[in-house]
Amino acid sequence: MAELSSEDVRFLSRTFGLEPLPDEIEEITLRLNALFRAMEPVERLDVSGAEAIPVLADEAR
Amino acid sequence: VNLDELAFAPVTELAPLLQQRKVSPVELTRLFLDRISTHDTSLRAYITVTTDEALAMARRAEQEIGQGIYLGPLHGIPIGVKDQFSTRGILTTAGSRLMAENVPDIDATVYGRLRGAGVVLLGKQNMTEFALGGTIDWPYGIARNPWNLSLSPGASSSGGGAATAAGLCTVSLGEDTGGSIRNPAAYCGLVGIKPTHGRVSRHGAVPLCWSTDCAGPIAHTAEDCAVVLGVIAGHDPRDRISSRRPVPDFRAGLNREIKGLQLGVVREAMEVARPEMQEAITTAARVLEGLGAIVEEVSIPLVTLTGAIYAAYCDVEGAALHQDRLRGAHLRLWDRATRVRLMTGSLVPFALYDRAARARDVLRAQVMGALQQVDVLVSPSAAGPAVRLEETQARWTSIDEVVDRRFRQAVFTSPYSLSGHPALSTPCSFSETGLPLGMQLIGRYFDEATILRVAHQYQSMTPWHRRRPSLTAT
Repeated sequence: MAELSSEDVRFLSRTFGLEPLPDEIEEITLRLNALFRAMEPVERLDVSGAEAIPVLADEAR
Repeated sequence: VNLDELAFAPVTELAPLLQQRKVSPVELTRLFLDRISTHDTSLRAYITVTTDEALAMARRAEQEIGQGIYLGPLHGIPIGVKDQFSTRGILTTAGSRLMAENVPDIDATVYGRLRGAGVVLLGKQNMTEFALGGTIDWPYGIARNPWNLSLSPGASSSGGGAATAAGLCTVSLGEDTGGSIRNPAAYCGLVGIKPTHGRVSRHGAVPLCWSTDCAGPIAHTAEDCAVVLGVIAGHDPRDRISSRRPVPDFRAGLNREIKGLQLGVVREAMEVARPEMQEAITTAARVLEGLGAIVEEVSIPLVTLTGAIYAAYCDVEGAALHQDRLRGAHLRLWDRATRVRLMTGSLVPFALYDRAARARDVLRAQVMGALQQVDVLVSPSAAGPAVRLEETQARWTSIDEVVDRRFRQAVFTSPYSLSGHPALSTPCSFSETGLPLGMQLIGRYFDEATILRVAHQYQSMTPWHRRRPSLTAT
């Protein structure tokens, strides 16, 4: 996933009707980019056959 | 009877004294209310102290017990309840200014069951805003750790940890989404259990992440946790995913020996823990071996990626729940850190959320696989002892810092929130600086009884859960 700029985040926030305060844009950008980086190994995982719906403990096999 | 000792006595010691009328519920309640009045200006464990209700409940308990109507071991026991749980007619803020005037007309099912068992409600306990961590601007005061006031009591059931450890209640009702019972229990030298997801009702609790939110007790002993869990567990028609499985008597098997039980120390969690924590877990494992358990090492590779999976999943769900509050006039009522975290969650692409959800399924399979190999998993509850409050409130300055501190170190409690397995934290040593260290025990689905038994047996051989803070350290 490409790294976002503060301008990208400002635009995305506005698109979704969110209005972060000016000094918060930088931190949201930092957190999003950090999450994208931390998710890189997760994106390389083989998840074939895995379900996206949480399995309730009652139904776990 | 020494009154101050009663403030730290477990339920199982107080109950016979109350039943035999050697201690009055009213006197006991007054003792706790006095202690709250003395110590809570610095600890800020409570958002609301329910003095009048507490005394009325205590008088009722006294009258009932006097008439021979004894409801069980929680009858007349003073407790605190996390302010995330609805309490009829009593302010319930979820630690947020956004709910500063919320007075529910229902009881959360778990609190209703405790009330039915005869508890005395001392008050509603402080928490990080909406049960996320990292609150900077605590609307109701910063909850502090009784072992050292400059330290965090853990999050998000912060007040529950602080109050129980400081003798400001006998037991607390907490809520755990990613570690919010186990973390305060570990930081405050207590026992806390997050049951199997679905074992307890979520009805009436302010939600954060529907598929991991879980109520549970924070107490002085594993046996007290067994008592409370036995009362709050069980199907609730108002929570469609609460399990219909029968609730066992969690106390019944606590004294059974653990000889032959297979325990697996989670390698990936040990690798991230600090040396003194690694040593504490190794020593605790030896104690358990001394009790006849067979200890080996197990690997759950995906534990190392749990931080990212949890954030891409639970922070997104939390953000979705609070979308209306993240807009317009409400905006400035938020704590800044909570608002930034949820706004971040609002912008995570669905493809990433979906990938996290599938990875969660792989993690669940890995945890289940490890629990086919052994009966119980053993892990540190945290990297080390309680951290300084400023550390929990620091702004991130670089991507590397966030990846390292927020994601790579989240290997302790959240894996089992995501997998839904029951997990408890019990004190297992003290740090060089005199702070409690916690050991986590994780069991198979709906097998809370075994982890409670291991913890109880461990506590029968060790002194850690009996140590008390002096309440003078700063």
